[in-house]
Amino acid sequence: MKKKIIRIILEVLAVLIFLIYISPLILVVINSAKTGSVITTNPLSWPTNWGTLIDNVKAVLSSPTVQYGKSFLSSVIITVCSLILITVVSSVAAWAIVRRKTKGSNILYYMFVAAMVIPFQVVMYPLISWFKTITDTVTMPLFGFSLLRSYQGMIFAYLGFGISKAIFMFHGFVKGIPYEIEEAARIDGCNQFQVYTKIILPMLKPIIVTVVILNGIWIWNDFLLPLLILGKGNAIQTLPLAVSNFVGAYVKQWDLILTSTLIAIVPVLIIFIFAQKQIIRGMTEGAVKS
Amino acid sequence: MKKYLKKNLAYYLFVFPAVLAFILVVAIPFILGIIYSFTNWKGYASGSINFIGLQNYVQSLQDNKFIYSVIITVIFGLLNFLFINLVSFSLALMVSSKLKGRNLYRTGFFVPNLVGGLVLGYIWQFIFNSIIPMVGSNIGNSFLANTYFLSNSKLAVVALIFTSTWQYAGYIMMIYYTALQGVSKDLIESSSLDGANYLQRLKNIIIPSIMPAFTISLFLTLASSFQQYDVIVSLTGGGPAAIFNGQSVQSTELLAVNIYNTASVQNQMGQSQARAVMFFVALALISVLQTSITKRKEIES
Amino acid sequence: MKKIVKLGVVLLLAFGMVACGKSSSNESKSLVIYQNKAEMTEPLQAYAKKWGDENGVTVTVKTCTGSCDYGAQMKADINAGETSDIFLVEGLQGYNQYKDIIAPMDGEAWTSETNYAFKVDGKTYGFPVAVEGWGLAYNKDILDKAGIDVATLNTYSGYKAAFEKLESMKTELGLTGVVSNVTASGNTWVMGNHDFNAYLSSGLASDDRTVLDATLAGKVDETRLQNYTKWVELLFAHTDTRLLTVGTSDEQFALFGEGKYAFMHQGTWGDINVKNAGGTFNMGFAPYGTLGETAADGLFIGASSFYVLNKDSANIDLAKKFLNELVSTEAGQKVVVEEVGLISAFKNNAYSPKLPLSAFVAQWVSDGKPAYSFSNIYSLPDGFGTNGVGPIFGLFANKQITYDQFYKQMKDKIESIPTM
Repeated sequence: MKKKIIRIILEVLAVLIFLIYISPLILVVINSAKTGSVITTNPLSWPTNWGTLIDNVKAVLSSPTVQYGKSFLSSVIITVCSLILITVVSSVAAWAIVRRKTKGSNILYYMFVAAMVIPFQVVMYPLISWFKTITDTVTMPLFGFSLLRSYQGMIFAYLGFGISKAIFMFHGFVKGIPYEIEEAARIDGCNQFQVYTKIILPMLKPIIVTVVILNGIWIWNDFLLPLLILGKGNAIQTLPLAVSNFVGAYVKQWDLILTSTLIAIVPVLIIFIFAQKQIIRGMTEGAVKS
Repeated sequence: MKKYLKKNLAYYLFVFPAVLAFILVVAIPFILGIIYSFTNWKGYASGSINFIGLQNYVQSLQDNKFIYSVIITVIFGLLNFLFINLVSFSLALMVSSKLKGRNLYRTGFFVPNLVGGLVLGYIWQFIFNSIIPMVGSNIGNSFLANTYFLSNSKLAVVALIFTSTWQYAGYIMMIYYTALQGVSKDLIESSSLDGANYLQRLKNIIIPSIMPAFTISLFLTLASSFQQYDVIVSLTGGGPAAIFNGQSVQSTELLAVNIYNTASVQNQMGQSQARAVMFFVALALISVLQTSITKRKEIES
Repeated sequence: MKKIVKLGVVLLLAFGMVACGKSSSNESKSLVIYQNKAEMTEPLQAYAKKWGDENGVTVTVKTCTGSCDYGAQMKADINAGETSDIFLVEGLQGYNQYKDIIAPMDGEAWTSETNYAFKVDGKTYGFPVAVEGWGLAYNKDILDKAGIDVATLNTYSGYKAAFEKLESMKTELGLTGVVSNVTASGNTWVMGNHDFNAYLSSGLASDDRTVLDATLAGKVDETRLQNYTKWVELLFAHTDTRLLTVGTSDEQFALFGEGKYAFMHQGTWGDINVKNAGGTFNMGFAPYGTLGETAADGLFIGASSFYVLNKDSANIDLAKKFLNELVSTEAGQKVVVEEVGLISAFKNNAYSPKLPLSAFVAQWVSDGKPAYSFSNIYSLPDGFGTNGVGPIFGLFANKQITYDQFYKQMKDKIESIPTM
């Protein structure tokens, strides 16, 4: 009997802890369904009219500062393209590095690994002026695009900053794939490229998921790099940039600010609901391995 | 040469895109960054770049705001580390228990980690400025009702720790949780048959067997605390002001923010680079420390 | 080796192009205007769109307001080689920061229509956005109810008596506080630029640089600073803690507009926000009481924000045309006065502001009442108001420093100016 009571107390306690922990998110949701004046007088009450949520969402979506649809699309383009590039470029490189056991290859690998220590702050400003130089001398005259204020530059920067960790993770995984499998495929007449697409790539699936999740969450939520490369208020805006611009312009309107944070969170949450297991495993493994 | 190339063409082709991107995005800016830290670099408007020796470093070390920033970053880092690990370890114990909703809890605790730092900061600004005083007056606690955490230089640091713990604890919890799953059930069972209570089991069996996870969490939390930027920008904007060495400083201006402000607000690009380079050296030392500790542990076990 | 490099580049770019290619070239003419005034954003955008359609140009108005750091964004744009064609600078400080890229505008048609153009060494660089002014804004209806005579509001003791009277009648007047004021980070310009300017300018003719020059030389006028400190202490004692320490300028406008405060520490630019918050009462400005028992009789009036031209702009003639037509056409004249509600800096503009705060200052100017310098603060080193002294006001507001410490901090800051 005594044990049962303790048990019930523990269960209740757990529910309380859980509710307190996620209360900030609940507060965002309930206050997104209120008008500004109600939030000021009573931020804790349950909303009386959920229709307000729709009004607020509409107000944010139609705001010229946030341009939600456009910013969302830009965020998707940047995230998806960066992920594809990071995955392809670093898996191929990691595979080549593992299979070629020379000193040079080793040095290359350690160069990528060592770069993981470099804090972003050291490179951020030189990167911008350097990108400007490349734009003026190479990409603009030859290809007609700028590396700043453009998708190309943004994606290329993510590729550069993302590959170190990705190569490190792929490297560890490829090492575990027996070389004999590749040899056999080669004897069957596959060239290097085919060996990669037919043999290696399918085997890399689990680690690709991890790499994509880790980098995906980083890129989707990143603020400082887009701030520097895309700038605030320009043609291409990621969602975090748009939200910060929105908050800057509506400092007092908490109803709209909270709604804007809510609609920035929702897409990630939806993906999380569908790919919970992979995301949790991916992020934890990624941490443990590095 | 030709033959050699042909044989190795595939290798170069496969490695090349990664190397190119790495050199253009990381390596060259990194080298430039170190060089610029010794110059009067202005960042834009062409102008000539002159070497000025260690002047940027000396001036940084004489800047009261920078010294404060270093100190507060270390204090924040340690407190943040302590808080996150305490909370996340407790949460991990909770979700690996036999509680009914443990799976839901585990997922729920993890969610804040998916929210971007910037958005998170705005949410908590709302909580500290509007919710907490309201809760305080509802429950009749005059301290909470009349305190604006973000207006007081010490409490603002506490608020920052709170926010980043909330964001990060669910993530570290998963690392502890994974480690806890690996703790031998037999060992626990036999010790409880021996009459050991929960605390004794925790101390003698559970904690020792998850030490590797502890090391990982240690460095993950330290590294993340030192790099805080987004949350600060949206939560406090670096403020409120505090007095340090008789001069006013920004109380939550941690290193990453200080480096950004030195360049973007005060227009001292060279000094900002010098600070970033010092920051890099500190982080590199921590990493070396981490690697050597991990290596030693591996040898021991 | 070369071949491989080439192949690699092609491979990499091919990835980029195929997967993510997006052409970013725009062939039609475009003009970008970058500014930091929230109240200007929408009217200017609407006008720019119309003007653009008529002239076959895409005009973009980029805005960075509220907590957005305009200076940092400007620098980022310059770094990226994406400087706007027209951008905004604040006084000499702003000009000095970007002087390498600012083109002179001597001889433009608009220059003959204004006394407020921004000049350095006789050359014209800046197009005045509007004439602005401030003092301590008051809600006349509330003051009348409390029986306070506006004429007494020009000395320390005059204000002290008025504030204390209002404080005692808070509940019956429905007030949250007496002076709507803010000091939080991101809003330090309110005290740091506008209030501190009183130390430099109050009681002096608008071209009198004595205090300014002394300050630039690092010399403190002790009596003046003592009186100033007393003023700040008085102001802070009569604002609700929440607003004063964590509130924002938008809340300041809104709460004043809602009638929750009798005074507002802001200027003419607040008209629209006050109106949007329902502020339809009678209002005006009273001179600051920063001179102790010496009565101040002027408001701070002038132009501090100027549009300047980017000398490297590919469309500099279009930019000039845009600015000229802002002055010479009726639609252009209407933007600043009729739609934004500010006071025009141009003589040929016959419109007069409708909103009360601007109307009050316009009347003050046409009555020939005294005006103190608006822009002395912008002659101090870059960011002195917002980042130099700004945070010290925050500390004082939070009661983290005492009266004496505040005085000493301000003194130290002024004395450190020559080393900045």
